[in-house]
Amino acid sequence: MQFVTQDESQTMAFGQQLGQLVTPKTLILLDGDLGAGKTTLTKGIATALGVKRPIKSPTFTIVREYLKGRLPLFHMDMYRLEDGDMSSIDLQSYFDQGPVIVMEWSVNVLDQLPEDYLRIKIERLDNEIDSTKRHFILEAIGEKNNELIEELKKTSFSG
Amino acid sequence: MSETEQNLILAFETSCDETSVSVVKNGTEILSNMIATQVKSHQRFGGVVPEVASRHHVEIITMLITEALEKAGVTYQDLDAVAVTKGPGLVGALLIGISAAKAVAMAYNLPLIGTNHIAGHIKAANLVDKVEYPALALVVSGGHTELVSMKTPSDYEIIGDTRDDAAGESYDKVGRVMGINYPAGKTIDEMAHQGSETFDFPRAMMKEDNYDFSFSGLKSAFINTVHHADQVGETLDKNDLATSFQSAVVEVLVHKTVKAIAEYQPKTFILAGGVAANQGLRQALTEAINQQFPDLKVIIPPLRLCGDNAAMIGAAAYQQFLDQDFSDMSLNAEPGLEFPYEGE
Amino acid sequence: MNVLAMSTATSQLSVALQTANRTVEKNRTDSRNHSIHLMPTITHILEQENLKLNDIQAVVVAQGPGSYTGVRIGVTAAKTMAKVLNKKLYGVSTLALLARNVLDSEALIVPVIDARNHNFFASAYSVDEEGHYSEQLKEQHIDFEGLVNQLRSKAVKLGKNKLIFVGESLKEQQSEFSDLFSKTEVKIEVAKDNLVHAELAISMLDQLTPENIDLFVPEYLRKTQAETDWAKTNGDHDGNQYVEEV
Repeated sequence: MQFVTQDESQTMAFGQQLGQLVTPKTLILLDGDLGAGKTTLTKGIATALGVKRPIKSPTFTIVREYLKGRLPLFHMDMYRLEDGDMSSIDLQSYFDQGPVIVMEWSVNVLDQLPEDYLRIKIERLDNEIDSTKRHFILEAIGEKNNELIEELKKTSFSG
Repeated sequence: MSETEQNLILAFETSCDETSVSVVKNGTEILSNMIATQVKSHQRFGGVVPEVASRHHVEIITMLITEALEKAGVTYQDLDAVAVTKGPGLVGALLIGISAAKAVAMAYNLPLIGTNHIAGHIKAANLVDKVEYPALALVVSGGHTELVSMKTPSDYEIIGDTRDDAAGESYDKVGRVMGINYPAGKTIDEMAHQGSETFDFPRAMMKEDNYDFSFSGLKSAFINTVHHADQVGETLDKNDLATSFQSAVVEVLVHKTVKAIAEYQPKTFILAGGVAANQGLRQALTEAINQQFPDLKVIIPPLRLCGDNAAMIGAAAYQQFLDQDFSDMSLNAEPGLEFPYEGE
Repeated sequence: MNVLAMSTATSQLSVALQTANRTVEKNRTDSRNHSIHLMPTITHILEQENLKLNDIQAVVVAQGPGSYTGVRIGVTAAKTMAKVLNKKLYGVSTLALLARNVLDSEALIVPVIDARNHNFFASAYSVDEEGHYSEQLKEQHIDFEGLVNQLRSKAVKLGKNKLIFVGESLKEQQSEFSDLFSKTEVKIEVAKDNLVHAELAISMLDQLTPENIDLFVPEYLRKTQAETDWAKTNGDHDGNQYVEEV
């Protein structure tokens, strides 16, 4: 599945749409350059989950926890993690809490993740400084996530 | 506790890439503050690698304990409590300090105190001067940008927070774009004093009726400016970029802080956290406060106490000691620990 | 002699205490909460035997390999206790401990710890009829195929026709191991007890020498990925001082 958003508010709206459809243990892998809109998308998801605190960058702390929504939301940035190093953040204990996980830089730990995730790639469409257009590419691994994409296709973000 | 009695806390701090052990007397006097930094190690990788940080902590922890006691001229029998940062921070790194602190507490049957790292940054002020309450603190570091209100020495409430990136984080991110070695904060600060403000970077949330911050838009604007110049083959003056970036960060921090002081009317203002070492921020805040609130007591700890260190944990733990706020031997790391928001 | 031993290297938390009268052991399978349970377990076992931490003469700890964070919890606790109470500190290999769950002089004993991605921390031991263990394969971080190849030639060389694997979560791998040895004479078994026992660390004490406490660190058997990658382009600078007091 793929589509284009025109501006930040549409990226946010897509996040909100997605946030309504996620279920416990939905793992969303988010790829995109600095400034692509990963945080905006995560904010949308968080808003739909009823998270009231601001979604802050997880880069420094690796994991930010938002526990007061419809489902717990864990926002993770694996940029500084590495193969073999998962014990130092104890990923499994996060999974065990049945949350929604939004993970950036998952490539660093991909071989240690369950084969059950929704991968979202966000690309800039052009190199204009002020460009707000973004190209979204979604890939589902696992049955639950395929169903999630089918649901998303019924929304205005059908491509 | 009688007035002549002295209270000695052995404190540990291992939340990120500094290992530190300290002995603090009565929450105000540093008897020793041993700090080992791993910055040279993480510089190799352009930022802190958690697994590497944890490994370094184990390598040096017992040596620092011995040195902290020797330097302070005290024995284990002289101690009254053991304190340790329980969060926020990197979980693997926090666990080294926690495991060591528990071992000392168990060995000498001492009370254990689990301390909030951010409370530590704020309470570093006690090591400098007497804090009068209510107090207000601006905490700026790699992971935090918060305005914290304290009605009493034991209450911490966030009245303003970053909505996205922490101030220190934005320094490191724009530093990477300019090819500056991690950690970029100090270098950008120095460059900023040599350039002039030629780029008009956004000041986010200045007009909004709250005390929150946002640095993500500034980061994007900075990156876009640099990338655009690269594409058209233009060379930008890095000092000017640094000046323009730092002006934007500092202006927002000062503006919101001044506004908060006006509303909350604290008796003491504290600037805390690693970014409190930034000269541009120290100067601008001091000037603004001196001008608008000449009677307000301002405490800006010296550089050594702005970065991560265990003396600040000992200072914060002293209040917990008075409050009998102890932990048992099951104390665990809380990597995502946060103060409550006002009214939460 | 009173001796305290502990392992937090695997999902099993194990604490043992030897006193003048007896040796007791407490175990808990809960991989993620070693930091919560280690000290209360030690307190409990000491109280039960009416001892204080200061009444022990030596601390023994599983030094690794294993979960990096897990190993560090035990190593940090053990070295700090030993340091501040001026006790002797001993480190034992987690794999050597596992091997001692098996007493079969016919077999090649293969302790393994899952290191994810089809990799293992592994070694191999033989044991004679008096119960003396000899390391036959150096401890290593190795992939599945590599381990199997080494075990094959080692089994032939030692004339062993039985391999006994010992380690956690081996049930899943047992058939895979068996398949790889199916065309050979070698029989594959999995040990009955696959947990790390701190009590066995105490039994190894006479073979150990005290550690330099300040310099004692976990045996990870593996550099971090970041350091490995960095060394590829910058060369090995192991002697460099990366941590400095300021």
